[in-house]
Amino acid sequence: MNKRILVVEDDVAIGNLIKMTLTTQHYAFDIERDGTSAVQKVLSMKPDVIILDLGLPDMDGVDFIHKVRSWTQTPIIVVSARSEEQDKINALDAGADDYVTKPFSVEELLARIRVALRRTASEHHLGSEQSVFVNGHLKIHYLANTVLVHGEEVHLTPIEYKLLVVLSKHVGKVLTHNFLLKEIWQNVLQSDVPSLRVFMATLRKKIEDNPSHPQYIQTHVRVGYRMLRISDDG
Amino acid sequence: MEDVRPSPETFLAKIREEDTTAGKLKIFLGYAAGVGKTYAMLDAAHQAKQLGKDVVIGYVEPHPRPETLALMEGLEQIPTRKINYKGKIFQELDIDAVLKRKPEIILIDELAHTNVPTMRHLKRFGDVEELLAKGIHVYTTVNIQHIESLQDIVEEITGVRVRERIPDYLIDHAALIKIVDIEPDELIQRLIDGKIYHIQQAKKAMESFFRKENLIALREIALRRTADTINYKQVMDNPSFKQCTHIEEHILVGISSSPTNAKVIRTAARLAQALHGKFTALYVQKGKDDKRNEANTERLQQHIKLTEQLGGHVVIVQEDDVAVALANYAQISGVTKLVIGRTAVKRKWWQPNAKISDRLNEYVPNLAIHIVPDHDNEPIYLPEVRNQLTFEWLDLLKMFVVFSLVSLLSLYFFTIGVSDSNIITIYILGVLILAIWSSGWMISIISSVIAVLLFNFFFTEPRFSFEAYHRDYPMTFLIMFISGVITSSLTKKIKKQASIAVRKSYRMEVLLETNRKLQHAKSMDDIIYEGMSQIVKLVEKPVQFYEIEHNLIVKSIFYRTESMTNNENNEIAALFENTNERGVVNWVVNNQHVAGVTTDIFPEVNAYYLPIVSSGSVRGVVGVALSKNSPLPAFERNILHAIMNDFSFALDKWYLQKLNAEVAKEAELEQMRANLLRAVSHDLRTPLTTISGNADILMTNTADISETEKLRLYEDIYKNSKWLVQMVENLLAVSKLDDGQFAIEMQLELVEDIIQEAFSHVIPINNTHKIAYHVEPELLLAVMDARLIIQVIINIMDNALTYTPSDSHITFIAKEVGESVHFSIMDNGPGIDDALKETLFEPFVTGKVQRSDSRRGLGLGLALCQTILRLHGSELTVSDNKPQGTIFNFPLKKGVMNIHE
Repeated sequence: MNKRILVVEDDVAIGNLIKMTLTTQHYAFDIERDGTSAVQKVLSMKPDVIILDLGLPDMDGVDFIHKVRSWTQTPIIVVSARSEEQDKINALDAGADDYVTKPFSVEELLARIRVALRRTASEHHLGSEQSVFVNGHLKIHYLANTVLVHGEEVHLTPIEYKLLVVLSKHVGKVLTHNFLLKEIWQNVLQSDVPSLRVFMATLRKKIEDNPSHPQYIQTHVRVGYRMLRISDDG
Repeated sequence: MEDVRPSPETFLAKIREEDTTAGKLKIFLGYAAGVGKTYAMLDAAHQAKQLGKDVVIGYVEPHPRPETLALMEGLEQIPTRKINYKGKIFQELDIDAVLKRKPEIILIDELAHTNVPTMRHLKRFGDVEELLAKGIHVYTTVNIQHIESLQDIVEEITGVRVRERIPDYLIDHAALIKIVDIEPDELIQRLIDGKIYHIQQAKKAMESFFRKENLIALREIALRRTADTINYKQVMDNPSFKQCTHIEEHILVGISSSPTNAKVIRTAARLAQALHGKFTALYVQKGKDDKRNEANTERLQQHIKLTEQLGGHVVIVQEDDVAVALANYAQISGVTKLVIGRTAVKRKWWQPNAKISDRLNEYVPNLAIHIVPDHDNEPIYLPEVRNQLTFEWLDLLKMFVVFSLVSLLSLYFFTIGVSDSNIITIYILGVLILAIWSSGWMISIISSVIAVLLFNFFFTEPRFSFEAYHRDYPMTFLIMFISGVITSSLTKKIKKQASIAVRKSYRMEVLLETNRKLQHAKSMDDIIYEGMSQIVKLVEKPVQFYEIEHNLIVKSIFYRTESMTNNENNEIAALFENTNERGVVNWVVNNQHVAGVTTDIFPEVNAYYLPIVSSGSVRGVVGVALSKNSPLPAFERNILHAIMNDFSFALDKWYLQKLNAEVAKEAELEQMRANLLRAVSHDLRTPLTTISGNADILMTNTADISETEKLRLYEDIYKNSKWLVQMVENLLAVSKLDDGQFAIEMQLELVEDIIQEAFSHVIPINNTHKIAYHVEPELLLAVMDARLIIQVIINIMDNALTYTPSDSHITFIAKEVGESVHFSIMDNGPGIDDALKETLFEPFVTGKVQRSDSRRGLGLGLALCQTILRLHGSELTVSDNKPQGTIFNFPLKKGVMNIHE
């Protein structure tokens, strides 16, 4: 299972750090220092995951994502030195799956890569359109509009259900507030973000075993939410 | 007299100054139609074009003159605007197109033209002035008879009354006047040849206007007027020249509402021009008859306006006697010449010299007086009387009641033997009461008659008949009638004056109140609200306020008036939303000039618009809903302008205060930054020393160090770099604070999300503390900047983790208390020293960098927390936990939200 990873990073020291990290985990990888050659590399190498630094010397990271997304859904993990949420949000809205903020720990990065890989894996062996979604103890019957946790049906309000469906359809991907608002309410009003938070909290209470240590739904403060793919043994 | 010759530098500076400011006006002046003004203007345009100037034709009269038409070729033309007015199509200058094209020089024919009423300016010279103000040079043509001050002379010579006139200052302030002159004979020949008008028209013209004598006279006037202008400019432009003229002539003229007064004013203006003197017009406001009637007031306003147009200064004084007022003013103000009309002042029996001129002569014998012949000067008071004679049925009823009572009373007195003369007094008392109580003048006269009749009927022999035997009675009746009329008319007058006085004092009250209220207004909104409310109170009309920022309308607020019904208010509010009205507002903003109803600019709209100018830019526009039929009276208008002045002062003051506050804040931030930098460089040095030192040892002495030693060094590097990361996060938060209040994004956040996020950052993987959190109720929302509050929680938690031994309990509690959310972070560690507590939050602002290295992390972190919480309107406090430990507390505003389903 030699997964291929493309690293797009212009800083040598951080490049080295990522290189060491990936080597220890026996991933096959390649490092590109600028956007243009990285786009070429995506075509020729067909990576399983792309790790992208937003501050590229020759192009804007968001443009890079737009370009790549025009032909492939390969997971993209954004590395951002800028701690401003807006850059991350723009990247996520452009189609990135996840992000890490510098300075990040090695474990953090590896964990993100694993999440991304798990997503592609699950998508590979279950077609994209299916009527049942299973994740750990969570089971959604899309056609019957029912949700089961530990095999027992849970009653959700229409909005909670919609939220859960959107999250499950994009499992493993960080969904921004704007994206969720558009999906649920069709229009994006910043004033609705608090409502979204409350619905997410109530939904979590219903599906999580321990809401103070959520397993399924991750909160990214000021950014959005993500449903995690739980490994089958968990 | 040192500075007689200005240096070349001053000349250059002056030229430069003239260049950079407004556009210049070049006038091609002729003495009659057909002298070739338009031709000369076009010719000049071609010359300018050859010099590389950007010349464009804005409007040229479409005469069928081939030479003129030929010259128009090769010049860019801005298409005229076609306006449909009352079924006819008019071609007019398209000023917006010109402003958009913004040429260097624009050609506009016929300066004196009156625009079609739907246009922006009443007169074409309004357009020209606007273009000049926008820095566009204008070439224009005008005939001499159109100049305001020459109107009477021209009328005398030619017998033609010129309706389209331009104010004199346009000529006097024009940068260049080019007189286009040909011999009158040649002009007549041209006319005969049909070069000016069609043959038919030409014949007619030759019989009336184009007579040789006329032309010669007009030519002379034109040449003279131009010569005067040259002289005038010389005097005005050259201060040294001014000093040479020893005495400045000061011409005084009396303004009145008399229909012929305009002629007097124009005469005075011409005199002033010729003598290069100052020109003042005095209006003597009589105490008793303030406003005679509408037509007169209107005319008076026109005369005041005329004076201002002619460059005169208007002074208003209160005085009963015109002659005394004129004489007094003349003496005080050093007037050299007085111009008056031969006004027929009503002869009064106690004044032997009724003529103003005679009396003036008596008061100020050494003053030169010019008397302008003035035949048809009739002071008409009739309309007023008719107005007052209106009659109301209610008054009749009042009369009936009063006289019934009076008669009953008199009958009673009569029976107890009171004499006739006393009974007459009672009736006159009745007339007096009626005069106060009723409204019309008519009733006063009628009541006097009825009083006499009633007295006759009830009390004279034979009683209960209208006959009277005694021969004294007719005399008694007459005197009773006269005294009745006089008392009642006096009372009426007092009553009216009282009501005028009340009205006036009400207006003054409004003005004073405005001043006071604006002084007390705290915020911009307050100022606007108070100012507008006062204006509404004053004008008793609805008012719209447009807030302007960077010359754009930001928002508009409508202020309704109590004196109209809701429906009327709403109708007017709808009128303000019209795009036309918005257009006018935009014009007012761009030109910083009043416009709208009762002005010459956009007179066809529904409101009077005034700009509020504060330090050079327009901050707002006030629209007062007015209609043509009910303009603001002069007094109200003056008060309105005074209020507007107060208003812009208040705004100025407010902006200044805001600016000062910003500067002060900036200085404080600057201080904070400097102190921070000192503190940070100190705090950074320690961990950096550890990191670089350990890495150095590992690189150079790898072989000599044992594996356990190495592990310890690695761990130190890791710990210290972790600390640095935390430090950088704090610095980022500080940089956010540096941007001031605006960078902070207050949002409703779910408290639990925030706590979880903070915990995920601060709790190490190999945590040995017992950490718990509790939120009550579960879905608690608070208003905050999430990033900053997370940083606060991280800093406090980090402290707790660092300064308590492992296995200590750390409990985080968020609780709803009233309108706020209370956060407490408690531990059961050793607690904090009381002495330390006081300086715990002491920020880097103190500038003292005397902390020991081991205490690092505490100083910046908690001080930052305090700053962040202060910005949230909150405060961080510390108290002791029982039995031991520390509690950190801070409240935040609770968030209330309507869930959108």
